[in-house]
Amino acid sequence: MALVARRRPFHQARFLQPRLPAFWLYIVLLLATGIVAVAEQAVFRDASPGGFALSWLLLAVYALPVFIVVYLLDLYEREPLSLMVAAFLWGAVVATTLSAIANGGWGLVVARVGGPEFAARWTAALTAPFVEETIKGLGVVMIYLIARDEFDDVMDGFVYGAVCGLGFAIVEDVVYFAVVFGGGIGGVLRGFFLRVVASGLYSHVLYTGIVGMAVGIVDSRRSSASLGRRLVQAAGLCAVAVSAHVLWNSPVLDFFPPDPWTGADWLLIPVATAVKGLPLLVFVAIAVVLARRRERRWLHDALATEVGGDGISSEELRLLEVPALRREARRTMRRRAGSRAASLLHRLQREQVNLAMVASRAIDPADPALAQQRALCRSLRDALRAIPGAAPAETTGVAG
Amino acid sequence: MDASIGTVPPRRPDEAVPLAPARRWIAPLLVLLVIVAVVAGGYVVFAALAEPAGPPVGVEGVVSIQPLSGWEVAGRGRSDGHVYLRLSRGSGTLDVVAWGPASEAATLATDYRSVLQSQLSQLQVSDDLEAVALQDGTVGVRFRYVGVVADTGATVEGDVTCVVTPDGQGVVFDGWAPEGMLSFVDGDLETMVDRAVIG
Repeated sequence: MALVARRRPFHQARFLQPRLPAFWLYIVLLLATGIVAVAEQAVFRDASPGGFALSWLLLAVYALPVFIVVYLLDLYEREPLSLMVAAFLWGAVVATTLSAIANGGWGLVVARVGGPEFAARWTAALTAPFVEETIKGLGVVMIYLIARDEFDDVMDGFVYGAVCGLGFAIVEDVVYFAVVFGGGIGGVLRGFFLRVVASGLYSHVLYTGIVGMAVGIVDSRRSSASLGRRLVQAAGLCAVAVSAHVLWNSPVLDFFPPDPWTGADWLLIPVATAVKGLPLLVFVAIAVVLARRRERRWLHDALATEVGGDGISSEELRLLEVPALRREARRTMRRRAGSRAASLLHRLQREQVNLAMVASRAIDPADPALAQQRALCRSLRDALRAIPGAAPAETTGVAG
Repeated sequence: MDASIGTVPPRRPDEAVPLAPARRWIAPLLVLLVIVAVVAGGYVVFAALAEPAGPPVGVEGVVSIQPLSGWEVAGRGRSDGHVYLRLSRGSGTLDVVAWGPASEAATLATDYRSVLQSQLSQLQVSDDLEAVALQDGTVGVRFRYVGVVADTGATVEGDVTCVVTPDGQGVVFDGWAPEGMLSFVDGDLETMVDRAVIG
């Protein structure tokens, strides 16, 4: 059987970058705010151990699928888990703690200027969206400063932003369950219904995902747009995120049934949240679809000159461009030649995506890095062909 | 098959251009600056906006207080033998009471709780007395309460600060608002109380 050289994944930056000041700033902020956050959680735990445990259990059930979906959104290059966790922790620990302090200060300003009645209705809308989107967005900027190489496209920004927003949402939910809903079992269930079942699709994951896209635009479209144009686009996206957050927190379009809720009121709550949240969800869905199309176009263009060479065949490119076809090809390979062959095909596909990255950045077709990546893809294909049962798949275009 | 193929990962052409060490600091410092501005900015702006409107208002020559803009004198009078001044802004109210002779702030707080007890039903008072110091150096104690106004049935919450002047005169600052509204006036209340001149 042919041997394939092992190598570390291409272009996978680590979170641990002790040479970078940004890394140390991140660590200092995380530790400083972490002390406060842990102390706050301890208060909630002591007040209602059962409710506290139930809060985290329910939120884990919500957060895990969301995390996985966001992780898989990136079509061609999954982001390193260490950076994803770092983005999550920024949202969960740094952003929640700093935002609580900042919201308090800006809330005083709203009350001072507008008076108590105005403040009671508008403080949440006029403080939190600006404060929280800024601090969460800075989390995405920090990830960028720590691992600049990981920001290849707008989707990367969305992924880091959404995960940062998810972390924020989880800890904010725990605080709400304890403080607003009483922290007991009944209160936690009530809060979970309102903030997760009825609203979980709309809030911080989307806001910060959009802000992350803005960060991604500024960095990744250097070759296609001037700095001014990129900044305008990024500002537009940030304005959408903040505006959606303002609408969500404002008394405008508030169709919530009056508390206490009984009977049909519980059915009206998801309708009330959808009125405010659904437009943003549609906007984000469209933005993500467009970003993924852009990624697909980029892949096609980047590999166009490589088709027919050592790196990739036209049939392989056809499959590579569509994630569902890629997965189907691996399933077919597993049935025909076993899991090792499927795993090798998976690796070949990954390296072909990496080939696209190298090709898109190489000025000279004879660039040594490009030649090396082509050779790696060829070696993987050769190794695959050497596995009994894998070759027939070649005729269907799966491996060859 | 050449097993050495791929042992050295390919390098991106733009990957080998690290920032100069000095420039690596610029962006993190800017991030830190923005964080400080966002987190501390509200408090700084609030302090700048908390300007007094009009001259100080005195109560019995024992205390004078300067209403912030938006706050107005809503009444003066005598209740249970104590002279008081009432300031209000919207649903927020600050009663400044010249209590008369008092030995110490903690005792005054206990006495004022009795007054609240007589005026509010279902009264709940914070367990601990928080030590406070006003800007002029006068020290005192502070506690919180929630209760229901007997004749209207409305729930109110309040923040009471008790101090005693050097010559033994008690002063009570009772800032209160309907339930849920105190947090929207307590910045103003705290500022006015802190700036009050005792004696």
